[in-house]
Amino acid sequence: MKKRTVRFYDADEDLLEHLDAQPRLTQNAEILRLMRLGLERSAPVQSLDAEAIACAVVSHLAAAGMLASTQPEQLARAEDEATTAALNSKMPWD
Amino acid sequence: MQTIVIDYANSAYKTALAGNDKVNIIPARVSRFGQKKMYGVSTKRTDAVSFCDDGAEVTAHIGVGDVSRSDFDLLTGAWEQRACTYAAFASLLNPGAHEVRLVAAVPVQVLMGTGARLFVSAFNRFALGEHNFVFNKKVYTVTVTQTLVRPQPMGAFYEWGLNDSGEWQRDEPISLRYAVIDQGFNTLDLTVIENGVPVPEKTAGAQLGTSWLCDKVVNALAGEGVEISIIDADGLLLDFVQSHRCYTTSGFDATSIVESAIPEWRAEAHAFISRTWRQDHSAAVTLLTGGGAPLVRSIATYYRNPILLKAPVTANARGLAKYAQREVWK
Repeated sequence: MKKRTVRFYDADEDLLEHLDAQPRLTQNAEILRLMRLGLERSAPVQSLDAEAIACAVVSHLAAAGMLASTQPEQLARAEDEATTAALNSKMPWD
Repeated sequence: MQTIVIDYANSAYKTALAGNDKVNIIPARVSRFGQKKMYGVSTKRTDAVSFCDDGAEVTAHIGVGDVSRSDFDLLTGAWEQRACTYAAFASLLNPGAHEVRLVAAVPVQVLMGTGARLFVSAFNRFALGEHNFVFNKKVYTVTVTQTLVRPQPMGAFYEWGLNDSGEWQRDEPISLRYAVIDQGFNTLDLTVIENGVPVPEKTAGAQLGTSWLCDKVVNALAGEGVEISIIDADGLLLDFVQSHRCYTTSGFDATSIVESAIPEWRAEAHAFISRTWRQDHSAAVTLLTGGGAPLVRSIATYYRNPILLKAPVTANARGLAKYAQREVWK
């Protein structure tokens, strides 16, 4: 199993352990970061177990076409798009 | 079209143009009764602004008077706000006619819960449209075509996270959590930002700004027979934070009084932060901003990766001036 190089929240330790055990998904640390983005948009963390969350994340990434490519520039572009979307988010009162 | 940022802080408005890190500070103390009493180094202004308010001609003097209003009704078109907003416009624009967009930074309390939309509607009734005023005998017509209202701590987040072009400049992904402690003159505002948006349950404000501490100092000094204003007390606090000594203008050594007041404030502030964030240490960094940020640093060791922003008094306005360059307008 490839050692994880990116850590996120301590509270998600179980989830990340689970994801680490999926060799197809841990070839690139960038994927983990994108999975984190997918996780936040696709699943309420508290209400699902780790495996269910991982399935939701993979589905989300597949739907977004992110699993089809591991090219660094494409991954970087996807991350840039996510950052732009976050920064340009409307607030509840807008 | 130019975009103007105004941070509607209690003690002074901070204003800047989008894409420009030069921030002008407009004292929020204002008088329409010709008073000339002034306190402090930042209040030596005699700027006069005239305008029509509810059908009545008003001439207001900026930076004059003992105290500024601290209620939130002030922020929806009170004559004091109107006068200082026009002073802010005049500090950035030449006389004449202008069309501008306005980014307004306001305390987090007014953007909490169901009252947020009501507040923004009321603010827009004041802000949107044509404003005619005379500032120091020069005539202005400023038409505000669009507004964005943001909680003040968001400005700190943008100041830290964005480069001068308004692009994300940090290695950390924006999807992480970022905490902000904004110690203003009147309020202590907290927020946690995730994916660029405040997390409501981690966002709160309390009347625990620096003025809370200043009141204690004023009262303690009065007990010693020394009368000072709340603005003078703010200066004493600043002196104490910088040099661990402070003296009134009359030469009274106020060091021990200030030193003994700080732990009481610190306990109140820490309790408020703990209630709001509930031992949540998930934030990647904790940004410290506002004029009282150096005070907060004394309790920041409780929080994860505390960062005291450069020039924290104006950090929120600088951050929003970066943010306003983005394509965030409808």
